[in-house]
Amino acid sequence: MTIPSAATLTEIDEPLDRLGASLRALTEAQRKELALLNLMEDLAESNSRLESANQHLLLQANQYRSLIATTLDGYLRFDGSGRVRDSNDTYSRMSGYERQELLALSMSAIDATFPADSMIDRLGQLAAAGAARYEATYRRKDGSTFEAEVSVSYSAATDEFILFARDISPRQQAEQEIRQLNATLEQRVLERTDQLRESQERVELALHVARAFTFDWTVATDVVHRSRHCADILGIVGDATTDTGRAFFQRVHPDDRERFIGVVTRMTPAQPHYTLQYRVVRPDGQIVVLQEGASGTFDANRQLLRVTGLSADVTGRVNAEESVVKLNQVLHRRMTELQSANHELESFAYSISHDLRAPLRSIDGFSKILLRDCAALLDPKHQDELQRIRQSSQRMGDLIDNLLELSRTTRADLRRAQVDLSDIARALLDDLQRSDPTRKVTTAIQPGLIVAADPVLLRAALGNLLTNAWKFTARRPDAKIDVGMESRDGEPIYYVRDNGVGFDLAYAGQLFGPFQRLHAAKDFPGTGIGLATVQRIVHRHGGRIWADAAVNVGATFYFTIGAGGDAP
Amino acid sequence: MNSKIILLVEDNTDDAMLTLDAVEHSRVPAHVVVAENGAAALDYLYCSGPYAERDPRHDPVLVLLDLKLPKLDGHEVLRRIRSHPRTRLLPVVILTTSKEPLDVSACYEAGANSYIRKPVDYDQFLDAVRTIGAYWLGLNKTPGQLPGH
Repeated sequence: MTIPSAATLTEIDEPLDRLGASLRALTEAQRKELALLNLMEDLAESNSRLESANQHLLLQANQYRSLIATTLDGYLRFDGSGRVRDSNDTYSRMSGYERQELLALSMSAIDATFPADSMIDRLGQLAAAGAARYEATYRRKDGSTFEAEVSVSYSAATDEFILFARDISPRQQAEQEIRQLNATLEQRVLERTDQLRESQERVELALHVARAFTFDWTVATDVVHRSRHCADILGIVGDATTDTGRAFFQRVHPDDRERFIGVVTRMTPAQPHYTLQYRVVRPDGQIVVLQEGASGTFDANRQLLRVTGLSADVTGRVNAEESVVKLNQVLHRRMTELQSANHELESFAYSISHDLRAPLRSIDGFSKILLRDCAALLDPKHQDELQRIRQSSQRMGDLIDNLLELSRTTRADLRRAQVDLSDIARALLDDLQRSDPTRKVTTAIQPGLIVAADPVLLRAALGNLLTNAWKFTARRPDAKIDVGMESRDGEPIYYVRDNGVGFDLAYAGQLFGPFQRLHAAKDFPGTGIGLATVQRIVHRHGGRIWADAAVNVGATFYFTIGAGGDAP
Repeated sequence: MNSKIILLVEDNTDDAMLTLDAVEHSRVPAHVVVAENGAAALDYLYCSGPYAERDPRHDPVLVLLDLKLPKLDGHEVLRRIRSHPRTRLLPVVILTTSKEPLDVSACYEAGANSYIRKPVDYDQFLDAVRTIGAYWLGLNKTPGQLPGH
């Protein structure tokens, strides 16, 4: 239908009015027919559209059905009262119910989250909300339960609920495990942290005790990090743990800098270690000797990146070593001196032994020959004088012998062995008895006195002590000599005791000096060298000797046998 | 002169005189020849030097050897006596003043037959000489004296 423009309308107004009137008469009927025709057309069109929509709906319903059948979530549809209307296989698998069994159930039997009697209220709330997601506990057919994540929507039109449930028990379990694992992990991290801190403290303590510190020098930045205790070693006031390589190098003793640079620059990726002993001058001027061991890290271009290591303060040790070396030198010199002195003494003793005795032999020998061959020519007075000459020369011979023995006890090597002191004492007393068979002496020797001593020297010492005891008991009809041991503070003390004439303890200080005699020679002959010899032997064993005595009661000589070598 | 010969090696005249006196007075049946030093002793033993004319069939039966001697000392004399086939088995008694243990052991090591220390007391010396004579010239048998030789 064409609509005329306004201009033409005016021009053709009249004819049109006419046409309009005739038309109006006609249209009433025709319009009705036309409308019907249009309506029919519309209907056909709607019908076809409906048909297609219907088909579409069917398709969709099929899709939904297959969706519900194949989904991994459980599906339930139930009405406003909770009665189940539909379900899928997944839910059957989850719950253990057959579909037919489910259709006979109400949600109050399925949902175990809330009491059964509150189900209607719950459903009311859900309906009001329209849709909800929540976690719930559902019952299985066998009475057990499972945790489900639930998604529900309500359709007011049908007064139905559509529910999808996902079994989250495994997930929860896993979550629980993860939570536990996390807790354990956290606990272990805490413990480990504690252990690390402890071990760190131990390391620090060890470093402190060892007077050492660790260091870490980064070449590019020249920054040096050191462990805590470096401060008191290097004598740095303030923060000593951070420094620069350049600043530290200034602390190195000028004479040691070349060596210091040397070991660092000689490091290669193949030989990335060095050890070095060098000196550091502390700010207070004190010199510290460091023993350092370090390793270098290199990059791909063989460039030194980092040096890490440990420095220990060995000043004390080095000083001690130096003084040991010095002491050793002194000792060595002294020993050489001593050796030559000993050597001199030896040849001196040898000469004495030969040359000093020879004239005595002449004096005694020719006196004797005179006495023998010229007896008729000599009056008794002269004979007595010759006799005195002989006695003196013999006495001097004894003196020389005893002096030589004393000298030998000093010169002889000390060779310790397990020695039976009791046996030696017994043998010596038997000898004395044999050489003096008329004497009656009661002897008592404690058996089994085993000592670690030089057998020859011990015999000489005991010989002197027992000879003295024998000699100084000569005037006692009830003479008694004891040899034994008593323990004082765990130390064995040996003794030789007699009940002879004894001596005044006031003179005990002179006892052990050579040529010291506390008795007149006419009463008790002797050279006064015996006890000096005994003392020297005891001292050479590292032992002590002392005496206890009372005039006319007796004397006891005590001695110990040390464990050490020659006492100085 | 058929008596046995004792060679006394002694540089000290006094000691030599005393030993001679002791040998005489202890009635040791021997004649004592004194050599004043080690070299003279060896000359005597091997009939050389001043003793080139000595009758080698009349060798000493015993040597009394002092240790401290000028030139060749007693230890060296002993060593030579023992290393020479002619005197290898000759009895040598060390008669000396020293009783240094080192001397004693060194002499026995070198093959001395006996070691006597001269005592200061002349009476004891007489006893010693008497014993030496009785033992080495009387009691003791040497290979040359054994039957069959």
